Amino acid sequence: MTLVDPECPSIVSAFSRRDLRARLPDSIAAKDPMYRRSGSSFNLKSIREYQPFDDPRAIDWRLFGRSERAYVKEFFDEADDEIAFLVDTSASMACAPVEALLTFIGSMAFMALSLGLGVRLWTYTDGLAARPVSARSRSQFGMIERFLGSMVFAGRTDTIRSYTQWRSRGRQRRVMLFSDLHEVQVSAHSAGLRAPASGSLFIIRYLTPFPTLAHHGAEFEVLDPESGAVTVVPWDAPDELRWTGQQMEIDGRLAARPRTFYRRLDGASIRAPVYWDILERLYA
Amino acid sequence: MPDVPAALGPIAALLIPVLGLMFVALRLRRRVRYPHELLPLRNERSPAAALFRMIRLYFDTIIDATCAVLVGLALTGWPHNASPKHEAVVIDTSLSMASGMRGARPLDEATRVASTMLATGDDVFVLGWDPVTRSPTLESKSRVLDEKGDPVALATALDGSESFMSVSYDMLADLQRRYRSVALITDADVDETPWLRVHRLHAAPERYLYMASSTWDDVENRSVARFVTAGGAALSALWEVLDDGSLVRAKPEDYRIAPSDSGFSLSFRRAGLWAVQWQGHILPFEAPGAPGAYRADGAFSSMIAAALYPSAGRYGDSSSQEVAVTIRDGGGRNRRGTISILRAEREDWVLDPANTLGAAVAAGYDRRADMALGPAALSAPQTAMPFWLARAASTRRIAGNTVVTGRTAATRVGDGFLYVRPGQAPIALIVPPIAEYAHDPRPIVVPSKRSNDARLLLTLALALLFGAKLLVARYTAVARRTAVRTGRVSPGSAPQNQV
Repeated sequence: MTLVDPECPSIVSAFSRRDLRARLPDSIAAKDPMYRRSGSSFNLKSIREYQPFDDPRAIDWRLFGRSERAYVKEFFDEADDEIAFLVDTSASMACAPVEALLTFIGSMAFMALSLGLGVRLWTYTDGLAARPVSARSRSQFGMIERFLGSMVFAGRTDTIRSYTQWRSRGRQRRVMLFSDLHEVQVSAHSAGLRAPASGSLFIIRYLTPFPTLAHHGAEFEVLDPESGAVTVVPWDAPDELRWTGQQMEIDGRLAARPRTFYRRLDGASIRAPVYWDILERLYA
Repeated sequence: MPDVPAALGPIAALLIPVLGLMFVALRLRRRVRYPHELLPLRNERSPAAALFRMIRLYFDTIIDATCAVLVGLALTGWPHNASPKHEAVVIDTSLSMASGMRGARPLDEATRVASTMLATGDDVFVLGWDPVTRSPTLESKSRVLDEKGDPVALATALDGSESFMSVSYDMLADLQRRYRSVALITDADVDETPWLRVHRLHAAPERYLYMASSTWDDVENRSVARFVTAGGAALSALWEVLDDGSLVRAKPEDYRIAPSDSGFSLSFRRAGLWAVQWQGHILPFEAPGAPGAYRADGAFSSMIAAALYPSAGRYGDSSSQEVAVTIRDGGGRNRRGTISILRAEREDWVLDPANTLGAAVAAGYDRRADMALGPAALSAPQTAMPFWLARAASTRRIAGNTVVTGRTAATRVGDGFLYVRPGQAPIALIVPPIAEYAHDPRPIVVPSKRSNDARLLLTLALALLFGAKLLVARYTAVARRTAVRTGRVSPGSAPQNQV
């Protein structure tokens, strides 16, 4: 099973032909390496004499021993071209259209790697997974694909806690969050889903609309996949409207957040336009 | 309280389709896996909200089940039939039931029938008449029957306790509220109903005297009472009723008897209370006195009075006794005891037919007088009726007067009752109606109360339940229309990215 939509290669090809570099920020797109952002990669940018504002821990002590002068090494920032993927693997996501979700994640990873952007993928339930899966090039996409194929959905969800944990660990400025956000009280606690500083947050909310499961005039025993509780729900046209209204209200609040890209998708959603929109936002 | 055990069967039968619908609904219920937080009931976890949700879930079934229970209870007699297993046996104690030889009266047969009809738990009632309150009664006699033990003793007890005047069969409807059915033992022609069983006794042969009319004869200057007879009944004695209700033989010089086509007439020299006796009955009656004096004011009125009251001999003699009727030329219209008349040239109207024996008598109209009489009215014999009626109404009578106030004693006088006050003249005389002597061919229909009340109550309850169904349905429809109209919800629209 391939987890890449067939439209993705053509989207990547179209995007590659565009003068993307000219539209990238100077910190990333500068042709002169001297103007690129310094960071924590192993890619050496320069060696210069120590200045009072430098961190003393950055002093190259070996060079200091040879020359008795303090020098510091500067490296390029590796997070600039890497995207963090946070994937909700709690039990509730099993109720979402899993195949469409995994295909969307795989396609996004494929396109990012094809465009030279690294991908670092974390899973989370009630906390962030300890070890992410990382890929730097398209040749490593198979590793991402295998990881997605072996994903198991179980456990309870705590998106806010997991996102907070990621912010303390990850250095990426662009993060994509894949979840149904069923437990997030958007009105009260959505402040926790804040985009990284000078970065962007992409929220892809995948869920199955309840109206597609229920028909009017019937009752349903609804089993919560995380708590195991069962409740009886009557369902008719007013209930469906109420459900739709609630979800649209959540959509509006999430989409209105600064530096946040938001989409709610389900199994029937057309994904190609969303890919294009996300790529546009990545290079905006 | 309703008889729940008896109602269980119908209720269970009526609940079967309700339970069937509920079973179908449960069978159609699907189980799905879905996060509860994404359901619309996410904020409805309070007990009250759960209760409302349960009501909303099952309101249709609840209302249907309530309807089934109500209809089931109504089928078993609720809400009025408290003891549906028992029956009420009612004995009629009207005067006709006490007619005949002791031991062979309808009353004696009624007590025998009642003793055979009674089952355990049944009650005996007596339809009667209370001379003190002058109203019909319905009293339980179960304790009397238990004490006396046999029908003869019960009949004797009823002889001593009942007044045997007249009864009201409408009171049987009161028993219908408390008993499964009512059995009436009577000699009257009472129609049966679904709840009323009538045991018709053989009525005694009709043999009676009854006063048809009584008036003062101005020509003879005597009080005349006319009687009808039936079944060969003949006057066997005439009694004078004294003020204390006792009877003394009438003196021959006080009365005259004259036969007539339908019976006979008695005339007396003076007004008073008298009583005729025939086989087993003494019927008191009143011989009325002379009407009051009249006075005529005006030429036209004097002429009318002279023409209508020539034999009275009291024209213009208003000082000898109280003036009862005044005839005057105009003025005093619609005044009691006064007839005002005027001459009329045009007679475009008619006199009130109620005062002219239904005849259409041409007359004029003048707002200043009761009657405006022209040549046509004066030539019609019915025109005299209002004057005669006014004079006849001026006679003071006590017979039939039911307005009895103060300390009065009801004294039995033959078949009737005389109401007297100590040291005063009698103030009322009440005798049984003619139906107690003569057979009335019209059947008596007892109105029902229970069915109407129960139907109304049940209809109201069912209407309320149906209204509740409509309200819930309307509420959900209104909520949907409001949601769409206010734009809070736009079904089918995709979420828009606002960034």
